[in-house]
Amino acid sequence: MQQTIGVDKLKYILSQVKHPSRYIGGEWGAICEQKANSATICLAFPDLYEVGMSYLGFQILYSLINSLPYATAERVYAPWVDAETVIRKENTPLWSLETKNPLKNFDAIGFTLQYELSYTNILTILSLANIAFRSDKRTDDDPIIVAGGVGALYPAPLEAFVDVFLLGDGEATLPRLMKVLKEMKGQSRDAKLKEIAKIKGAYVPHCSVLPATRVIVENLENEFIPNTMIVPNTSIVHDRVAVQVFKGCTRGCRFCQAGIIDRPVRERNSKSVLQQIENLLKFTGWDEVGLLSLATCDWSCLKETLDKLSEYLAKDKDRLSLPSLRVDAFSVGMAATLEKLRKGGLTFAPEAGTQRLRDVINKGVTDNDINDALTSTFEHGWDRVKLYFMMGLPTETDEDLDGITEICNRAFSIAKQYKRRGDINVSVAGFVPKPHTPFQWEKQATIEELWEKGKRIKHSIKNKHISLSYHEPEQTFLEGVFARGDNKLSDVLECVWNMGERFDGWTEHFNFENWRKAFAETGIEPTTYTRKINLSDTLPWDHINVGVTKEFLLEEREKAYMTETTHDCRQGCNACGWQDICKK
Amino acid sequence: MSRIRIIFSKTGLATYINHQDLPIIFSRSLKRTGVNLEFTQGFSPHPRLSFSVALAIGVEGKAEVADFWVEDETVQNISRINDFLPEGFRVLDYFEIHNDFLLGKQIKAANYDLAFKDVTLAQKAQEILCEKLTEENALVRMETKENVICLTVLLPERFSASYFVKQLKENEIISGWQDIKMTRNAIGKIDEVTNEIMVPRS
Repeated sequence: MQQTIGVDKLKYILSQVKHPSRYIGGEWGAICEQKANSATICLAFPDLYEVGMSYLGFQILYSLINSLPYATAERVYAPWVDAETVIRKENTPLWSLETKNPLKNFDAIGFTLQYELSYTNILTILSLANIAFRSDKRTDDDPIIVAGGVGALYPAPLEAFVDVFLLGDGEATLPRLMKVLKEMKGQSRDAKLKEIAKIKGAYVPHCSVLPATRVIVENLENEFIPNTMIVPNTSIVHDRVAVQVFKGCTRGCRFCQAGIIDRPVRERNSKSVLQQIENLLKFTGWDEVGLLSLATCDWSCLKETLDKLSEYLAKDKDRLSLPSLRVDAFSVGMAATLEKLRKGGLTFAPEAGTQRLRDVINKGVTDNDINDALTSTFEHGWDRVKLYFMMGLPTETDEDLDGITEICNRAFSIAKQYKRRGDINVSVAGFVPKPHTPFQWEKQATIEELWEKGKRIKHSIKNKHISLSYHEPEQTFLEGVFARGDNKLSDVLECVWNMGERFDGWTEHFNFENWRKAFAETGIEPTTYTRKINLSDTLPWDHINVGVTKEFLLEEREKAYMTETTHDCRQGCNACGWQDICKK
Repeated sequence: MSRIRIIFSKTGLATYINHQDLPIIFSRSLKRTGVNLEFTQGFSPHPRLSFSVALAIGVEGKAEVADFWVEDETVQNISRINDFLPEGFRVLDYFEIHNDFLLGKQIKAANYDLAFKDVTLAQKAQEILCEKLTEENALVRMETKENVICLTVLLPERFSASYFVKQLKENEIISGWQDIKMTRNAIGKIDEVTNEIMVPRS
């Protein structure tokens, strides 16, 4: 076992880096002692502290693991590039925030795969922990490398680096993994992995029986409810109490991976949510609450909860941060009762510029809905809106792109009718076809095509009140490569990491030249992964069963091409594959 | 409404927390303790606290000062605040203030310990800092014991840890913050009788 990092050494390192509070731990709610003889896991978020601390999943899993008598969880986040340099210079192994233990001392390191462009940071963490990148090079002294989150459901690019992927709800799988690690302390890594492979929802490459199947918690009310959260000592992206009100989604938008891989819908009841909010506000001292889910406006207990919540929050002047709004007047009305001050603006995601294309992607938003939502927004007194769209969607034409500008112009004139400033922020993201969606076979728009589309929209916007932002097409391209990539990509990842690529999701750090070189050096043609896939081809994620059938995805794809919509499954089951379990 | 002044320490790894984050850390800690802070008026009301003279990152604070405006019914709960602070913070004392003077205007001096790797460096540092601070009429007192300089300065906003590091770097005595360990022992007013730094208590 390596020694914990001493305070003097830590201070020496921290005196040389920016934002050193990222690396110190000691926050309210952090549990700074390992239980004797427990199985230990270091939850590792492959991005900066400010981003990782905003991730509710880790807050829940941290509380859950630490509540188990046989397990302890700590945390680590990706060190920024300046810290990585100093840590290497000082020859210090990367430490956990709570006990400052070198990561190699843990029984397991648990990564969450939220975003493809965070994958290089995974290698950074392993490297700084002196753990071999490749599973087949690790020894019995090395922790078991675990990965969960959405990326575990299309694991091919990372299979060389990860010992076990946990598929589905971490609440269902992680405790079982910790139990095995506790019972098998001291045994060989092969023996542990063989045993872990037997856990439902665990996928150990080269060991598990295929297909590996995603596991869910069926009834949220019977499961662990967190009463504590870690409160950061510095500002973070989402700085508030967060409560998940339901898992899954019924809207069936065809581009949306989250909506498929988190099915079926499982709701919490109002009483449980209110109790959680009360406990968490009291424990943390936060003054803001967020209700999280894929579509909080659809939560069946929303109105009932908001009525009681407003009164409760007013006592201590706490605020509810607005859930992402459905595009309709009702949602805006609800927002108006919550946000007396009309600060800032409201955000809507029409996603496509014409009714035709919205029907293709099954977004379920009509032109009337958009008009009503915009009217209601400005009527109620807000001054600006943010609108999210995509470009590069299947069947898209120039007319659809022009539709984006048309909606922005419409938003501005409605604002003016109500004598508001009418600042319209529009963000257009390049569409990335994702695994386990009806569009998983589609061609992704090339870098050049995305630049052209972006330029078209930009030049069509004449109004200085409308500001456009779009993601860098090169980053979108890379996201697409890793989303639908196979295991050959592990060589590219390692190669580009050795060139110094870090934090690829951060524009200031992203260097596409390095990626071009890495693809050339490894002899891999990246456009292989972004082109149209034949419907009969084997897919690199076919060995992972998320519960929704391929037949359903193919049907939805066909309907898309016929511009036919599918109704929200709260209005009637669409037989996606979960119909036996799903009560809705 | 009561104006409460606290004296607190910021030590260990908490020294790496930015001064700008202190208001939010304390307002949440007080909320957890059951102390209700008054809110400011205006478009964006927030809890009313005042921290003065920033403590640089990496410098330990042995007796830092802050004021809060607290709803009367909850003042007595402050006695439990040490049970609700994050690691590295401790409230050492608290008392009521019965005037409207700005906290910042009452902080006139600060006392620091600067610890160097060895005696030679400390002596070189003493020469430089003595010269510079005397030029600026900011030096109250300075003495060196082995590798540690203990000094008291006026105008602590300007003659801060950052100032010391800048002077020492420019004169090549240290290469950066990592080469020196600093502690701010006290900030406040210089007591006319004892000549020590005292936190204003009224």
